[in-house]
Amino acid sequence: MAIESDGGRRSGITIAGLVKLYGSLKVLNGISLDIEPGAFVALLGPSGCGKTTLLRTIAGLADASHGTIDIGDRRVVDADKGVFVPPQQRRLGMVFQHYALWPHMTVRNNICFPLRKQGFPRAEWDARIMAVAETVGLPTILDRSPSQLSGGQQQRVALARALVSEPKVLLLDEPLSNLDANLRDQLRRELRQLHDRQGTTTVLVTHDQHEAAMMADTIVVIESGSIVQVGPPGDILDRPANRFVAGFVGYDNFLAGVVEQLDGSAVQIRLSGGDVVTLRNRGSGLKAGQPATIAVRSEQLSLAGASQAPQESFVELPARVAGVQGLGRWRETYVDYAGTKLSARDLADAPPQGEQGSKVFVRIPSHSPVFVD
Amino acid sequence: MQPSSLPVRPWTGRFGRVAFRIFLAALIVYCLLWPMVMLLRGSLTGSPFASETHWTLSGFRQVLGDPQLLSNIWATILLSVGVTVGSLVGGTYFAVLATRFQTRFRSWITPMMVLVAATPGLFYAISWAMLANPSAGVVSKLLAAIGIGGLGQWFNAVSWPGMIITGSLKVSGFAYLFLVGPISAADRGQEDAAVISGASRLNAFFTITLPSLAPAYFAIGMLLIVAGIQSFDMPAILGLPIGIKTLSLRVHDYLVGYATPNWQAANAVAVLTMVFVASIVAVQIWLLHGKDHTTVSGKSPPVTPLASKGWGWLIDLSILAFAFVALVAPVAQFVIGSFQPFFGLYGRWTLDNYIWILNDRVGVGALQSTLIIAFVGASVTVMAGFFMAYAISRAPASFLGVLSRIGSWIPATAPGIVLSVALLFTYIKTPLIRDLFGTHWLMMFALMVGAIPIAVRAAEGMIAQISRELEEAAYISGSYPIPTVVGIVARLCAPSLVGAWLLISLWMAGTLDIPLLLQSTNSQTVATYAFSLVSQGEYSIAAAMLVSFLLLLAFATLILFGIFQIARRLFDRPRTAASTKSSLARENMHGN
Ligand SMILES: Nc1ncnc2c1ncn2[C@@H]1O[C@H](COP(=O)(O)OP(=O)(O)O)[C@@H](O)[C@H]1O
Ligand SMILES: [Mg+2]
Repeated sequence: MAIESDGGRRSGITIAGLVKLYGSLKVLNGISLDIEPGAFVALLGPSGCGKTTLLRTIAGLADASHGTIDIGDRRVVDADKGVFVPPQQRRLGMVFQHYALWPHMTVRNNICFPLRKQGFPRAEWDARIMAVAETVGLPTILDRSPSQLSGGQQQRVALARALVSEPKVLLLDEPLSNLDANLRDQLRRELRQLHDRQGTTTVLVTHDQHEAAMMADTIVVIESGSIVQVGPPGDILDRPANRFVAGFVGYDNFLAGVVEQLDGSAVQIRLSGGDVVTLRNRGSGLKAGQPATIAVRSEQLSLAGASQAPQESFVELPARVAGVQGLGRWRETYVDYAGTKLSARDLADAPPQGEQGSKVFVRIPSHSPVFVD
Repeated sequence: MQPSSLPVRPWTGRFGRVAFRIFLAALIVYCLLWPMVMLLRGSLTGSPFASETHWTLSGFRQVLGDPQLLSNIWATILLSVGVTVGSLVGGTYFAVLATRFQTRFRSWITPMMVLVAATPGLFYAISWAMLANPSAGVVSKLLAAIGIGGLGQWFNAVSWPGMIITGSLKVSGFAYLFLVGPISAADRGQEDAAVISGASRLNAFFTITLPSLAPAYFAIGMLLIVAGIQSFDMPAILGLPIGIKTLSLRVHDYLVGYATPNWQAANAVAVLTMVFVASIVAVQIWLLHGKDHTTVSGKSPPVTPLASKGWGWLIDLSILAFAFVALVAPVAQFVIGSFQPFFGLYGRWTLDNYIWILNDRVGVGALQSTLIIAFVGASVTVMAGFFMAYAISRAPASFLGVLSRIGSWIPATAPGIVLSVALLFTYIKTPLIRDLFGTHWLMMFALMVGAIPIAVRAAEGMIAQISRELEEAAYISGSYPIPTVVGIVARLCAPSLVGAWLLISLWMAGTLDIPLLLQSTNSQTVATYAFSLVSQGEYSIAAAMLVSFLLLLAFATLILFGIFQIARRLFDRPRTAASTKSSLARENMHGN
């Protein structure tokens, strides 16, 4: 079956001022978000931050306490006016964390279910099922029962069921979290390729920064029910907006200081030890005289026995080695810079970067992100 | 290629849905809650047949002034505590064998206990009254045959010890089914730690594992005590003849034991019994803080045998002995007894009892009514229980969810005879329903009310196993709530629902107290009729009656099952036409 490249099947999603209360617990705290038609968006955040709740509110499986949601040009939720379009009428596709295949139906009947319920002409059923099975790469297992399938196959069936009725929006709630690492990696690629071919607006929920970065065009980082940063993966990983996002995407060294001077994308910061460094990747909202934080991943932090002439690519700070710890393949060297503990990671079989108590120079890449808090 | 039409809402809209919910709520209130109000009213007004209402406290005054009341209470407590202790010991023994010993007959234990639990208490009581009768019972005849007939007088089921032992045998089945989950799921880690520290496995089990189950024992014990307080058939058959009267029997006594029924007093005892039961339940809830320790946690850890081999034969022997005493002997006594001309005479085989029943208009009527109740009443109850359980587990805070929860507990706290009184008052005061007096429909309604707690509890367990995502996936696919609940949830529960149906139809057939006050001379169930036959000493005919019913039920179930299988062959085809053809085509495609 020819895949339609456009038409009514791509819808944007517009969320405005969405609040969700469970009793007195505010699970979503005023979410506003614009998703372009055809976009692939990842909702990223730690467990319990409200990602699933947001996805379920879009799907219509949960209702909102305040705010509005539009899918395409249709208002599906307007909590304050009592507008709530039930999930049956939203025409979405959704893949659940545990796939939710109906065990009493064959694979074929599982995939056929949305066609039956949404009134597709019976004559088209077979062609559509075959086409979607092909699309998701299902082998000839249509007449088996879901319980006879492997995890990866079940995942594909769930995806086929979500796609068969050509939904305007595809919602994925941690769809790969139950697969082993290799298969997960493979399916990430396939899902992304599928999106590139079909262009269905896709919203993926995940707590895995790598997954989000690998699949989505836009990452929405959520912390306790609020959006803290929206941007392309590169932005989120290299220019986290605050300490929470930085920590969540793997930054583990933080240096506090005060902004001395701002110049284009460069920023001069006086650190707690009195050293002044110039970094070239500043975030927004920094003001001279105000506090700021530098974030560095431990594998990007290196140690040197002797100081070098000033360089473009890194800045140096004098420090003292506080300890060394082997971590299997890795080794972490802990250093103390003016009372701040930093850790540098390198390969365990590389030459040691310094012994306990020795003086070293810590090298921080000058593109390390700088943000306000 | 857009779909031809959007799905149409099956309901007429918001108003229709609200009206439907109000109707369901009213039904639950009328069937399950209102009877308790009528019971209280009856205790303050007297006969439901009186045309005028006089409010009076004389019922309570009579009951509280009755010197017998205290002995009734003591009898109730003695019976229920005795049976609870006995059955907990028996249930524990077999639960430990089933989960922690590798013996030959281990796999027999659970089926055996299910059978013991499912066998109606009435059947048990009658059978043991026959088996252990000092002059005519098989036990005393056997003793006489080996020359020690003098001992026979000690084997009398119609006695305090007889009642408690018989009750314990029967209730062991329930105790086992409740205990086997917690015992098998008990944290093995603590026990392992004690063994590593040097204790023997058996010692660690008794000093660590068993004490850790104390809350579960407490919860199950309370449940059994409440069941004991409510029991009617055992004391009616094994206690009443020697003057033992529990509170349940006292309610009955006030209504049938005197020239005119004393409605105020009967209702007053019923109300007091309810208060008694409710206070025990309240204490239990308070002590356990609402924690449910009886839930079975699905997977059980692998068997770690408590002791090495050596006395395995002794254990095997005990399993066989229990199977003989709790199942084989009562069934054999029943079947053999039903083919004997008189109870107590053995050796002459005859079909007289069966022929008598077939020629007895009331007997045939009882068989018919009970079959209708078993098929219609039990089926409707299973369905209603399923929907109530669905509301309870999926929308616990909703109006219908809360009402369903309350409604599903009320009949469980009322002893059967109390329920019988309450429903009698309710139905008499309801126009149209009132006209059904003297038919089996009223007994069916009453049994349905009584079985709702069983149906709801069973369905709750099934629904808990079904992930909510399965329904949500259907909603997202475009399916509406009622088709989803029926097509996905109920369909997935179907095998267990059939099991629940079988259990409930047996329960309805074997329950004596609930239909007791709603029966009429011409309209009986096999239980009420068997009870009246036993009261007249016609044990053999009563046995034939119950055996006939079980045969009919089995026969009818087999026929229905056959019809169902044929229907499934005819209708349950793949939903799309080209299934085999197209998958073959694909296979060829891949082959090229
Ligand atoms: N039905 C519910 N009732 C009460 N609290 C809920 C319910 N569902 C989710 N929550 C709470 O809302 C928060 C967000 O949950 P969720 O959206 O599932 O998080 P995530 O998917 O990001 O892990 C959690 O604190 C969770 O405990
Ligand atoms: Mg989640």
